[in-house]
Parts: sequence; structure tokens; C-alpha cells
Amino acid sequence: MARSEDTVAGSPPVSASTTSEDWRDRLHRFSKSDFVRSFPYWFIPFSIMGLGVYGGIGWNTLISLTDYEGFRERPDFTSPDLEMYAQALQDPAVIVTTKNTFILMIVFTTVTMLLGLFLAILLDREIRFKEKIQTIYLLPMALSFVVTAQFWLWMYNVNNGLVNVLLGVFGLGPYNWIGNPDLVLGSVIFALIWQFSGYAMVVFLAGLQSLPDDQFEAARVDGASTFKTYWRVIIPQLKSSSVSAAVILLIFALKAFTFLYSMFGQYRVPQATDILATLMVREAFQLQNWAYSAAIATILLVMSLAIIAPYLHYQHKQGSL
Amino acid sequence: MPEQGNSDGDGDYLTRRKVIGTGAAGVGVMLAGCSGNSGSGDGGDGGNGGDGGNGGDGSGGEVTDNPMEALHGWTGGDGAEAAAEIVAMYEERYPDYEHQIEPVGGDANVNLNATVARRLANRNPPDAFAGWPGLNMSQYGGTLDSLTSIYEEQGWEDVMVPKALEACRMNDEYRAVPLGSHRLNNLFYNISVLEEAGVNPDDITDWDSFTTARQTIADETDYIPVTTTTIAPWTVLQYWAQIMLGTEGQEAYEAWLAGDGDMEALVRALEKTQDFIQTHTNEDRATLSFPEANDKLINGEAGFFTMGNWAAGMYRNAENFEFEEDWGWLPFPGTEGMYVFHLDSFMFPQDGNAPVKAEAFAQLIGDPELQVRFNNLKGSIPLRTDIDDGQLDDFLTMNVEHLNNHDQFPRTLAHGLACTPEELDACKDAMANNFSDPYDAEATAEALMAVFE
Repeated sequence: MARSEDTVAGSPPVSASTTSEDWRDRLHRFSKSDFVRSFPYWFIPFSIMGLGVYGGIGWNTLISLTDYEGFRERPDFTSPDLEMYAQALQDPAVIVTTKNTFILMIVFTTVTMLLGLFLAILLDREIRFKEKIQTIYLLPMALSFVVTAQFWLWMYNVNNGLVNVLLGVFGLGPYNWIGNPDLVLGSVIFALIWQFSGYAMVVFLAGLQSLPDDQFEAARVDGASTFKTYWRVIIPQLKSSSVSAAVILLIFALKAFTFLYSMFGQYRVPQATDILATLMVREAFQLQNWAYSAAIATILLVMSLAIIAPYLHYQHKQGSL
Repeated sequence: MPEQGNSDGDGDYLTRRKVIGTGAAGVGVMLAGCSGNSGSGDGGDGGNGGDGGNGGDGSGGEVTDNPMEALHGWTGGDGAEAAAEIVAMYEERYPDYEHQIEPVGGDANVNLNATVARRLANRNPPDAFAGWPGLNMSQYGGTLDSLTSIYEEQGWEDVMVPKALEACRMNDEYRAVPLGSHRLNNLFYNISVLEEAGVNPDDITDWDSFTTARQTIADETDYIPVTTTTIAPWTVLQYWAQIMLGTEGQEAYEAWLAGDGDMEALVRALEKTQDFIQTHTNEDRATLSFPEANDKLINGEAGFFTMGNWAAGMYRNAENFEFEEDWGWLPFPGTEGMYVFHLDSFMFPQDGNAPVKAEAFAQLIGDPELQVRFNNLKGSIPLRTDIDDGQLDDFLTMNVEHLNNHDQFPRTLAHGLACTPEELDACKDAMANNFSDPYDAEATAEALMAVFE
């Protein structure tokens, strides 16, 4: 073990006198290396995951280069082209849904993380009933979209929904949360934030609690206010927490399809909430435009990667990833 | 984690950063591998899909061991009970035939259609599936078995409603077995609400008298004159189609479907539709599904409701809510003498796993006893013309009479008889983009005209 060489790093160029002795020695060392010895343990799960996830992405991309549609023909891979992407970029439906998807991802992820951070800091201040509050906030995350979508639909009812009843106490409303195209996307995003801010809270709380108390004490000795302590000392250390929270939340933003489908009972949702995922399902399973919907799926993937990539790159440079 | 770990040092252990790097490279390799494989492997056997015009050689084969798999979308309430009748009769008649007659849930067949689409595309079709025939069936062109020989054997051409026979034909062969028909041009009303408002339902014969009646209920009572649902664009499309038929007539409707529509007529009907949706209705229409909207009529909160007559199934299931005592029916204003036609059917893909059992299933679907037992529960009417009076309830008997005696049968738009799935989707797009608060009748009419041009 002690003499094994890291195979991934590659070996330095060897001198000209390469003998069979050397080869055997190196092969022996290679077979003893961590890489080979751990191979049976990580390769099987890695290949299953890789085939399911990345194989799926690859297959989808390949389909998007064909003209595959309908039931009768199989996809024809002989002349791949980007026609479907060209068509998608000119389709007003794609443009509208891209915009909605973008708004959903950005607003949902940002607000959820800020809210989660805020709650985590509150809980970290050793307030009373901490565990209970923590459970209450995390619980919505455990509920299925099918449940939350339906009861938010009831809560948003313009006549007897809880939201309007509460606002009515302050003399506001009633607002038509779902019926008004200007409000409906915000209503959906709010419901999603409600469901996931507890998750962001737990992630940040774990990060906060791993920090030693000394830092708080040191900051206090130096005369920093509580706000300054968090702003300058604590929050900058939560980078790895925020990476994992951001990635998971973005994935859930992509899964908003489930929420919308449960809420409206069909693949066609109000236009202001129509996202790329719902458009993709309609194109695929109602119209059998397989290649076109695969192109939309790729656009969706590239879009989410484009949003998260700069952040991941930054974190990687900082050494948090 | 120690922070100095970012050197590519010669330590014994893999660092996390190396794993990430290797992982990324590995993903690249896998991607390349996958695309290489799939390109050469799966592309080859596209040949067995294209035999569109086979002449019905499904009969006379061997009975296979495979169970007969039939998919349908009737999961809720009376739909599930009606589907249970199909299962019961199949088991009665063919006790030796194993079967999987299974529901795929979801509103308005969306999940059923998606499941069927996926199975057909994957060359793993069920033996039978429920769906709308007519132009909706065109999407399955080339994948469905011909049923003409069964039709001839059973003599169905003489005992089925001609309108249904026509809708079940594609490429000169019968490719679907009609099971039941719902009607679209209905105006249901709550008798006590109308009485209290002093509205006589017999006076409601056209759009203007309907408008007066709505106004009267609003003026005289606190009830909601018309309960509506707009959560789904198909309901808006359906409202518009009824109003178009009721105010502009069947000719204008058919002309539009034929690509020869009158833009002005569409605009007029759309403006009335906007009025129908916005005035004298429930404010929470955007969050209600159609059963929830219908509940308002059953609970005595609302006067009128328009929907396909599957809505009447809910009245039958409600306690102490009887036809012509508590609820009444009118043809949608202006559509007297029309039966706006909807059709449920079963279709039979080629290359099923159990062709003989599927043929038995097809025969069963067209059977008069099954059609009575199924439709009595489902709230639709049988398509057989040789069914005795008295086997159906009063409301259904009335509809059978209308189907047999009326002479105008516009095909339903929102349920696929009058248009292909692409056209239906484009119509819904037109409604969703231009006609959901704000309501732009001109732009909607233009978009609707473009669908069939």
C-alpha cells in the first residue's frame, strides 16, 4: 500500500532503459493501487447510475437530432441534423415557456435559499422550541406534490380559500390567484417556496452547527455586531452548504412539472405557468413529436446547466467542491 | 476537511477533486459509448411498422397463453363501476381467457392516451385500448387492426347507429368498436333555483332568452346563475363550440372545420363565450374541476351548468336528486334538434399478444347486453339500434330517442371526433394564448381560423 502510485495522476516519463522487470513491477503496483482494489465496489453502482442518467441524456440528445415522430417509423439516425433545435428557437410556445421556466428557477431557488438561510440563523440563535419549529418547517418537504398541489389549489380559491380569507382580515383582496394570468406564476412559485424553504433551512443549519463557537466569541471580542458577525464571518463559510442546497433546489424547480400536473390535472396548464417540461410532455405524449420534444428536453437541460455552471465553477475554484 | 488538499500530490489516496475530474471524464466516455451503440444497434429494424393496409387476418389464429390486455380510462365513480361490468361479462363469457382489463387514471384520458402512445412507440402495444374514434383516431393510422371481418360476422352494419359506424372507419376499414355515446349540447338546471327566481325553463330556447334567464336569477336571488369551470382549456373550447352551434348554427361550425369559416361568426360566438364565462358565474371557476363546479348545482347554489352528459352521472349518484324533480335538462340554447356527438370506443392494435382473446373482447364490446349494462352505469347511451325500451333509465332513453330522431349531429371538437390531435392542440393553444383573461375575441378567432386553413 505504501508504495502504490496514484494511477490517475499518470506516471512521469520513464527513462529509456525500460525492462520487463520494470513492467512487471509497475503492473504489480497497479494491481495493488486503490483504483483497482476499489474497482468492484464503485464500478457497478457507477455504471448503473451512468447508464440510467447519462445514458438517458445521451439517448435523448441523439433522438433530438432525428426527425422521429408518430408510431410507425423507428428513428432514422442516418442524417442527424439540428433542424429540431432551429424549429424550437422559432416556436413562440418554446420562447414563452423558456421565459417562464427561467423565472421559476431563478426566483424559486433564490428566495428559497434566502429564506432557508434566514430561518437557519434564527434557529441557530438558540431560540426556544427549536426542535419543534425545525420539524414544523421541514414537514412540508415530506409531503407529496400531489397533496400540496391540491391543497394549495383550495387555499388559492378566490371565494373561500384560506389565502384570501387571511388577506381579507387586513382589508386586502380578494385576489384571483389562479385565474389571473399576472398572479398565477407567482402563486405557484410561492407554494413551491413554502414546500422547500424548510429543506434549505436544514442544510444551512447543519452548516452553521459545524462551525465552532470560538468564531462567534472572537467576533464579539473584536466588537462586531451580531449582524456583522454573520455577514462577514459566518455566511462566507456556508459555501458548501449553499452549493448542495442550490443544486437540489434547481432539480426540484425542474420537477415543478409534477406540481403543475397535480394542480391542474392535465399536461396543459395556464399559459402563464406553462414551462418547458409541460410543453415537452405535450409534444411527446399527446402529439408524438418525439424528436421535437427531445430537443426541448435538451434545451431544458442546457438551460439548467447554464444557470448552475458559473456557480459550480466559482465554488470549484474556491475549493468548496 | 483540510484545506491544503488541492495539490495533486503523490499521496496514497484519491482526493475528492480527482474523483470529480475522473467522474467527468468517465461521463464523457459513457456518453460516447452510448451514442455509438444506439446509433448502430437500434436503428435497423424499422420495417415491421409500416404495413398499414392489412386485410384483417387477425381471426382464426391459435389461442396464445398471453393474457388479453385492454386499457381504459374509467377510474372514478360510475366510470369504474361501468368498467367493472366489462370485466364481469368477459369473465362470464370466456372463463378460460386470462385478461388484464385495467384502468389508467387521469382527467379526460390524458394519462391513458400517453400510456397508449408510449406503448405503441415502443412496439409493445396492449391488445385493446379505449379512445375516441373519428379524426382523433388518425394519429394511430397504420397501427390498428382491421375489424371489418368481425363487423360482417356480427352484422353490426345493420344494428349500429350509422353515425357511429362512420366514425369508426379509417382507410376503408372498421378500426374501432363503438361502446357508448355522450352528448355535448346540454344545459342542466336546478329546478328549485329556477322556480325561486321565477324562471320558466321552457322559455329558454335561444341565446337571448338564456341571457334573460341568467339576468333574472342574478336579480331575483343570491344564487350563482351559471356554475362554470375554466381550469382546463378544453372546457372553454367546449363552451365556445356549444355557443357557436347555438347561435351561428351547424353550417357555420362545419364550414370552419372544413377550412372555410366565417371569421365574423367566430368573433361573435367568442364574444358571447366571454360573456358566458365572465358574467353571472362563480368567481372561483379557475380553480374548480368540472365535478366541483357541478357540485354547486347539486348543492342548490347555482342555476345552470353546461357539460357533456357524463355530468348527469353525478346527479344519479347524489342522494335525493332526481331527474325532472330536482334537476332538469334542456338542449343548450339554440341547439334544439341537434345531438352534438361524442363517441367512446375500443381500438385494437396490430401485433397484439393475444389476438384470439382480443377478437372475443371486440365481439363483447359490440354486444347489446354489454352496451346496456355498461352505459346504464356510465351515463352514456348504447350505439345498438336494437335495444328494447325500458332497459335504460329515463334520461338515457330520452337521449336515445334524440339520437334516433334528430337530424343534426355536429361532431364534438373538444373530444376529438371533429379534429386530429394536432388540430385539437392548436385549438387549445388558441384559447390558452388569447382567451383566458384578458379575452381577445379577434385574436382568438384568427388563431382558430388558422387551425383548419
